[in-house]
Amino acid sequence: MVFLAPATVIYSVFMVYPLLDSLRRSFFDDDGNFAGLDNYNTLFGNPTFADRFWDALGHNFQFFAFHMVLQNPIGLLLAVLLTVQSVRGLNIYRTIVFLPTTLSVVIVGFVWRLILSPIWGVTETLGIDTPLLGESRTVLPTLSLISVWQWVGIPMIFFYAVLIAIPKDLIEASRVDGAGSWQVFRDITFPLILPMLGIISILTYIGNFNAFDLIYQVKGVVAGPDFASDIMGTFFYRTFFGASGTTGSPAMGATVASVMFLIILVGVLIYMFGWQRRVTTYEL
Amino acid sequence: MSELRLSGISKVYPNGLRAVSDVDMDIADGELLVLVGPSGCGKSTLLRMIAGLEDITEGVIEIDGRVVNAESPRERDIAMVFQNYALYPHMTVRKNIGYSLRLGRVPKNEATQRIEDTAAMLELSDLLDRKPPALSGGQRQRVAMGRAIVRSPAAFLMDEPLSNLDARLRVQMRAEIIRLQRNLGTTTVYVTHDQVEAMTMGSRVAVLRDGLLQQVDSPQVLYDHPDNLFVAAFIGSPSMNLYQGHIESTSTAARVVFGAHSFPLPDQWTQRDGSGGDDGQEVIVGIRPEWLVEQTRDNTDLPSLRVRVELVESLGSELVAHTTIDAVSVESDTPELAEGHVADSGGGAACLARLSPRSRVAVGETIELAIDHPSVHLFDAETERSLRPGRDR
Amino acid sequence: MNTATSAPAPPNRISPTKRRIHFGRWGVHAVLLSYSMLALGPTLLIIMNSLKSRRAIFDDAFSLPTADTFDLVGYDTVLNGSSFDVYFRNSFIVTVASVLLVVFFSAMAAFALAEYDFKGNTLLALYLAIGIMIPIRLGTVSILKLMVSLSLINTLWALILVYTAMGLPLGVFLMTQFMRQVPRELKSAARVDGANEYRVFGLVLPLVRPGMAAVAVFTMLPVWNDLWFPLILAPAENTRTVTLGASAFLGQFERNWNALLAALTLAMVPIILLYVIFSRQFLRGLTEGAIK
Repeated sequence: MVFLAPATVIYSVFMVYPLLDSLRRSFFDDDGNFAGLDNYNTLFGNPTFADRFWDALGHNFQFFAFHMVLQNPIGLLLAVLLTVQSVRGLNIYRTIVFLPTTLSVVIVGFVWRLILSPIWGVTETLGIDTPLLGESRTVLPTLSLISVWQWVGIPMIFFYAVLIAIPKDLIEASRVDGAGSWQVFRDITFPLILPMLGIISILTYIGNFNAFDLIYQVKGVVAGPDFASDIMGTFFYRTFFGASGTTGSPAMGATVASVMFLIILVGVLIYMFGWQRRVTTYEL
Repeated sequence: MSELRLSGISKVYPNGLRAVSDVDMDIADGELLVLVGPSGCGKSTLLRMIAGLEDITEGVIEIDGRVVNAESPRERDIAMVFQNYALYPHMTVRKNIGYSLRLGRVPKNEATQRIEDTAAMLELSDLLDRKPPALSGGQRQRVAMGRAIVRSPAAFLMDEPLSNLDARLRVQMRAEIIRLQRNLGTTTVYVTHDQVEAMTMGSRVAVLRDGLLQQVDSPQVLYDHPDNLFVAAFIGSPSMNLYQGHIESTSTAARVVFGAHSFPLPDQWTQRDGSGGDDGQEVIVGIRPEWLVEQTRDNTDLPSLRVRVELVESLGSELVAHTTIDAVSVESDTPELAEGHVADSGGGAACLARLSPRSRVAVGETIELAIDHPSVHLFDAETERSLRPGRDR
Repeated sequence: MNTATSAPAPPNRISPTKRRIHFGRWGVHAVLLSYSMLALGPTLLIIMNSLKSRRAIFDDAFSLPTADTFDLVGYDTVLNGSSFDVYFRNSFIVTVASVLLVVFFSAMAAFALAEYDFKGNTLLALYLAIGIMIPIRLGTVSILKLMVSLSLINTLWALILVYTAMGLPLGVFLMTQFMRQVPRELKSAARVDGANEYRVFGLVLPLVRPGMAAVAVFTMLPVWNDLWFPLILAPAENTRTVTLGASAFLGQFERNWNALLAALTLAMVPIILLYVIFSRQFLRGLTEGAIK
């Protein structure tokens, strides 16, 4: 099967093998000796690891919650507005709204870091007097909002895609049946885009546990202040490579990765069996 | 139970496209009016304006004397059947049919009763809990009808509801829609591009072309007395043979001349003073294929046309002869009219004739066809309006 | 005037409903316009201030550069002290190579999966699809070891291979959906005409162009913007991508606001221009990919 070989080989060697090998390494120490569950005991038993781990996990779920509550509904709202019929010039808005998504996280992070910097004084003009990125109380919500600002284009364009695939006839039929705008959305549009809501949610979940770049860029690898912006991605990086004072450990890194793998797997299974089984996708 | 009145309706799109121009039409209570025309003629736009799905640029639409221009679809109390049925795929048949009742806050018991009555009427009772993807095309069509019927609306609007069905089912549903419409007595506007469907269904048929209303009348009048060239060519299948000609008029007689052929201007066309039309007037001669018969000893009094047989299609009940005639045919600007015609070849213009199945014409032969000339249509070459003198109403 | 009052009101006067429609239309514009400003604002603020003198940046951040405040000192600093050209070249090579490999290899695999009914077909498709749900970053520990043992550390190849592996699962999945839509008759006709399988594949490719565009778009964005793998696999000065380069470079100028703003503008503007030029195709690719 000449056609299948390149894809299968590259995928297996550079993705599947490393993932499985990572799992394997989590049961060995850094010198390659079998260590059983020692690494896991360290991760969950040793306070220097365990505290950081639970913090990071908690932060990660907050980060996810922000995206679910803000990014996806805003994306949906924008997509709905962009598909309103008989309003012109919508393509320009679509292009603009998606623009931040095309910028790299590094740039976005830095742009916001400058804008929110108390030195510049932009925030002062806008009536914000706390250093949003400097205080442990505000840093995570602020980073979440920046991330939402950047990525809202993704749910927007996904919802947009399913919305324009809904035949115009259906909407018109419901209007003739007596539905107003809200009823059309509630009774016709929303049930038809429900499967996409699930897809976007699981993608958000996976993406959020994969997040690293923004925090690294804005707050560095120690995710300050006082680890208040630490999430699984930065925790994984520190554990693997070490940072200011601590030395890194590939074995512990692999262990963290394995736990993250498990967390993502749980999410995916919930999606597949708790959601996908119940929500039917309709051929339109 | 309502009547619809359209006065001076126009639709101009923001890009300047004029889809409908100044249409006046009255649809009586309980009437089934068919809007027919080639695709893109504005008939669907007109229907959608009645439904409230399209803004009205100019003119007034009234339902029972109430101006509804500014009313939303829900306020107009009108039901519509869409070409693709537009069934809600995530709702069962029951919910599809009952959706408008739910929105209209009809009490639950009454709604259930009405849904079940409608379903029974359409033989859908066993399918009420299925969803549309599990239905056949014909069943979906019935659900779409049911969704309209259950509301007992002021009027039904149907937008090519049968065009997605296969031929056999289409004929069956056609009869069923006529039956339902008669029984319910609901005012109905039915849009189709199929003139056969229009002729068989409508108590009156409105022919639309490029957004302009051409003629509204009963099918028979449209066939016998088309107001203009377009209606003449559009109605009837296969469509009318059309040739360039002119009138030669002397003090004693007038003749219609086209190509190498001519026939006397029929009596009822000649004016009171005995003279015919104006000498030299350019006309278009329209001859329906069914008015041509083989020349026999019995009809030698009729003028005849000499044609050359190119192709013979035997349909069992009749025989369609594709022939060429020495004349210049008039190009029809409607694509749908072009089908079925043999393109003009070097030998002259195409001429289609519907002959008796017993006639023995053979390909390559040159034959004489008798023409029942008083039936012939004449149109002014310039205005394309019918020259037939005032018809009796 | 008084006499006119007895005339009946024109029948098609604008009723409340009509006004509601118009209000809705303006409402849509209002919401989208405000969000557009939120989306554009920060970017514009940076670009605007990068053209101003240090004083003006701090005195009045929200005003446009004027003749008085116009200053390009930031750009001087940046263009003299960096190797952005190298970074851009690296990013370009990595992105283009990965996208091409992903598109081509997933098209091939998808062709086989959609076309041939062999044992284990579904299983293989599932195997390839698992990668959509699992982030490749979780294998970083082993990827680093692997690249070390292959001596690919600090080469662009390391990035290209990893990104290709990363893009393939979604690529194969999307392409399979598109391949399934190619009419069977067409392929049969080609075979009857004596085409071998490679020819049939070559014949099918142009028909799945929208699919290839979708896959390219979906691959491009995360590759171009990734910070993680360049940081870990190719941090050397001569193999840095723009993302990593900008990250490191911006760090050096912590205090020089003119340089920071200029550097950010330089990093953003090419992308924004490219995006604006190709946004139609780009968004169409995303849209078509999203509903598969």
